[in-house]
Amino acid sequence: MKKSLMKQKRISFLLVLPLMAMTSSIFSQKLASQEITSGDKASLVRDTELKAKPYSDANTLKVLAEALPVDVLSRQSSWLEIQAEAMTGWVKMFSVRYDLQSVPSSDSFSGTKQVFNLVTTGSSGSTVTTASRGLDENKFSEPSPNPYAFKTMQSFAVSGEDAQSFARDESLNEQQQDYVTVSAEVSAPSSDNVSEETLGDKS
Amino acid sequence: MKTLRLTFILLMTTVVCSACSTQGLVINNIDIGKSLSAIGHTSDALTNVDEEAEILLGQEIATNLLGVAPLLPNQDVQSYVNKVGRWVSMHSERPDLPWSFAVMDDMSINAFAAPGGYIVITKGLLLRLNNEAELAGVLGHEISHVLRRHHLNALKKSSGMSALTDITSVILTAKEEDTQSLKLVTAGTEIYIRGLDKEDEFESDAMGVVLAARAGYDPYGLPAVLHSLQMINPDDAGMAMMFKTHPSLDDRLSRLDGVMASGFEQFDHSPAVESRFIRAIGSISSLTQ
Repeated sequence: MKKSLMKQKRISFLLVLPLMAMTSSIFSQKLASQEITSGDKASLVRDTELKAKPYSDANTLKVLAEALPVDVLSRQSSWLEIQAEAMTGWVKMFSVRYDLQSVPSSDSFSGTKQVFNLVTTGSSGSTVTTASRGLDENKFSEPSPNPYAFKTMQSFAVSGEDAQSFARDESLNEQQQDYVTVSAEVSAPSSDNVSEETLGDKS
Repeated sequence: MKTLRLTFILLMTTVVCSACSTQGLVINNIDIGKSLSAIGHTSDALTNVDEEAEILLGQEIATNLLGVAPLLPNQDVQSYVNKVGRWVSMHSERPDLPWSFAVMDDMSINAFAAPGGYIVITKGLLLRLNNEAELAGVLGHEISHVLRRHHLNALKKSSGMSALTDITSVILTAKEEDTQSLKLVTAGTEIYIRGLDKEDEFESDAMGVVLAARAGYDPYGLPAVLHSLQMINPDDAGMAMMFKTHPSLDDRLSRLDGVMASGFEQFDHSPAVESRFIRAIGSISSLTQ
């Protein structure tokens, strides 16, 4: 049973390869025509230091002004690699807000592009829309229970031991961290390294 | 409902027996009197009863939730999401709840938590994610709603009940097709379209990143997801319900900015686990559209 599922999975992946290749060529053309920018469109929410590397003590290439449009190329933990004013560097992720970038797309296209992006860049892409009609709200106010589905859901549950072994496979190391909260009144920090919030342990 | 009846009988037995003298009552070599005395006189006893009712209510609500759209028919993906979710939940203060997770076969973008530890994420949201750390962050947010009993608090407010014990009483004493308990379960399901308190959403964001960090993941997965959702048109039908029931993405990011401003640098090298995520969801990302 497991073998056949794995086989199916392999076949599925093989089938998607030509689609990815096709999408890849479409994107190569797009990149060639744009030459410089290829990232997701965003802008800065505060004056922000553009760093040469994704570290706080790295060289500051320039201080970029609030509201400056940027292209986000990649993310590394709390840092985003951006391109702005013909320079490439790193900024803290919370200095950035993405712009609305939806375009109409069909389900199949969005899925194909998404696989392409996941494999090549780790980005889910900016032009993917859900192409969904949304969940029917009436089904929440006048529910039709599905006990069979609930039973099936319970059968998916895994033991703590299985979860632990799953975590070990990718060397996920447990860390100590208390819960942290902020006061209700929030104003955006005025610069990268300044926070006006009060931190406290809630645990 | 059979379970409810059984629980009711057990509870009533406890109540009745607690009221009488139980000294020396021994059945099958178990000192019932001593056990009941211990249950009746510790604060944990009330918590246990409340938690039992919370789980029963959650099961009923989750059963309604799963009537909204079908489950994704892919055992591998369901199992993968459960492993991530279970691992994250093990780093919470309620690791022993019957945590189970499910992917709903729907392209809208959303996730739901039912009391007691039942979490549902839509395929549409799963497909928007880039790595396991982002999934851990999203599930951490939902797990936190359960940890803090946000759903029950909303239910108390909407039903006019004053305390958790009121809800416990309704659930534990429910009879088959009992009107009051049915109303409670329906009201519990309606909360998904009305939304929780905004502060509860902010709190779940703040706790979700901590749970992901404790589980060893890059804790910036959740803010990265919120970032990514900013690119989608809020008028998109698949996003409408999530936008209607949550604070703005900008506000959520601003709050997380404050939460993560200090102390989280130590996790800058925690893994995002991208390749395993891609392998796990590869089979549903295009061919099943």
